Amino acid sequence: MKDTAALDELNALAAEMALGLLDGPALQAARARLIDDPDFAARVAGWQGRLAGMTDAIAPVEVPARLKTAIDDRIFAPTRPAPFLRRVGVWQFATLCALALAGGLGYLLWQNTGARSDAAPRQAVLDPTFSAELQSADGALSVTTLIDPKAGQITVQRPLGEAAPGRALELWAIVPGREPFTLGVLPAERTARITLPGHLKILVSQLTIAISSEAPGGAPGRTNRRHRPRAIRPIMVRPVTRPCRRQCDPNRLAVAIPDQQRRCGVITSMGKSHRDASVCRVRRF
Amino acid sequence: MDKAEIQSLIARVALKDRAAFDQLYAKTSARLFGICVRVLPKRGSAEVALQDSLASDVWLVTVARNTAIEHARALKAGVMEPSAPGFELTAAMPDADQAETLTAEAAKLPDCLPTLEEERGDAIRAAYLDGLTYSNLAMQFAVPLNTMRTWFRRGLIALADGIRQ
Repeated sequence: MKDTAALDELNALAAEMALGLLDGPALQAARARLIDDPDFAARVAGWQGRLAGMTDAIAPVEVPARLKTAIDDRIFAPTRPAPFLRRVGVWQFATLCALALAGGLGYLLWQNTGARSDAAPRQAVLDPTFSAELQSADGALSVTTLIDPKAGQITVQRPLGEAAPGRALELWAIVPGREPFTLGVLPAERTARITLPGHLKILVSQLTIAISSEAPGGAPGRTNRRHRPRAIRPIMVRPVTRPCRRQCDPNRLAVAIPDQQRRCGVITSMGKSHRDASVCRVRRF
Repeated sequence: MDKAEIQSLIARVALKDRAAFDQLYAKTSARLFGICVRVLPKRGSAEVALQDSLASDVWLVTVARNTAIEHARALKAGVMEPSAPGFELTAAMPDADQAETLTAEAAKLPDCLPTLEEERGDAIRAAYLDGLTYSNLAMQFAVPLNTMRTWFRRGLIALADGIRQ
C-alpha cells in the first residue's frame, strides 16, 4: 500500500496536470504516466471535475445567434442540404478571391488523376479539407499537408527543402494525450499521398501533424505496436486547421484552400469567419 | 443544470443527433461562452474557442476551459503548441457515482480556495483561469521554479484535504 506522502505526491502531480502547470520534461514524464498508470489518469480526471467548480461563479454570456449556425455547420453540414449549397457559394467566392489574388497562377498541387467523373471536382470543393502547413525554424524546409477526412488521405507537399544528409523525414499524427502515431517516412518525391489509419480518420479535426528527422529507416521501433516511441523530437509541428474556418495569425498559420481547378493557394490573411471570404488574401505556393 | 440529462444529451450528440445538440446548446452554451469570455476577453477569440469546444463531444466544461486556455496561450506565443500544458483531456466522462462525488467536490471548491494560506487560492485560480504554468508563475514572482512548485503544491494538498472534509 502506498504511504500518505506518496499518495499526496501523486495527487499533487495529478492536480498540476489538470491545472496545466507543468511544462518541459516534467510534462513529458507526467504525460507518459497518464498513459501507463490508470490510477494517475483517474486522479487527473478527478481534479478536472473538481476544478470545474471554479467556473461556477462565472456569469453566463449569451452567445451571438450566428455562432449557432456556424457550429451546426461544423457538426451537421455534410448531411444537411441547405447549408451544403450555401457552402458551395462560399467556396466559389473563396475560389474567385483566391484566383484573383493569385493572378490566376495557382500552382498545380492536386493533380487530378482523371479517373473521376465531371462531377468529381465539384465534390472535391465541397469536401471539408483540413490542412497543416509546416515550416522549419530556419525556413529551409517547408511541408504542406492536406487531409481529406472522407477519403482518409493525406496529401503531402514539400515545395522546399530536403532531409539532412543521411537522414529521413518522418511524418507523425498526434492526437492530444496519446502517443505520436507514425504515418511513415516521406519519399524523395516532393508529393506523396498517405492513407490515414481508420482510428485517426475520425479524429482528423484534432490532429497535429509533426515531422521529425530520423535515421533512414525512421524512428526505432516505430512499426512495432508494443514498442512505439512515446515521444518524438519534431523539427516542425502544426495542428491541422480548416480552410477559412478560424481566425489566425496570417504570418504564422497559412492555410491551403483547394479550388475547383484543384489548385491551391495559401491564405495570407482572412476574415472573422468562413462566411467572410471577401477578406481572404491568398498567395500562391 | 441537470448533469444526468446533459450527459445523455452529450452521448446522443456523439451520434450526430441534431435535436439533442439543439437542446444541449440551449442548456449549456451561455455558461460555456461565459467561461470562454473569462479566459479570452477578446470576443472573436472567445467565439472561436466556443465553436471548437462545442464541435467536440467530450466533457464540456473542461473542454471549454482547455480550449480557451490553449487559444489564449496561442495568442500570447503567436503559435499553437500542441505540447502546451492543459491541452490534454485525460479521461472520458466519469461514471455516475464518480460524477456525483465530483459534482459535490466541485461545489465545495469555491469555499475551500479562500481558506488556503498565503494567497495560494488566488494562485490556483490564476493557474486555472489564466492558464499560467509554473514557469510563468516563477517568473512573475521572481522565485526559482522549484520554490514555486513546492509552495504551490502545499496549496494543492491543503485544497484536497479541505474538499475531502
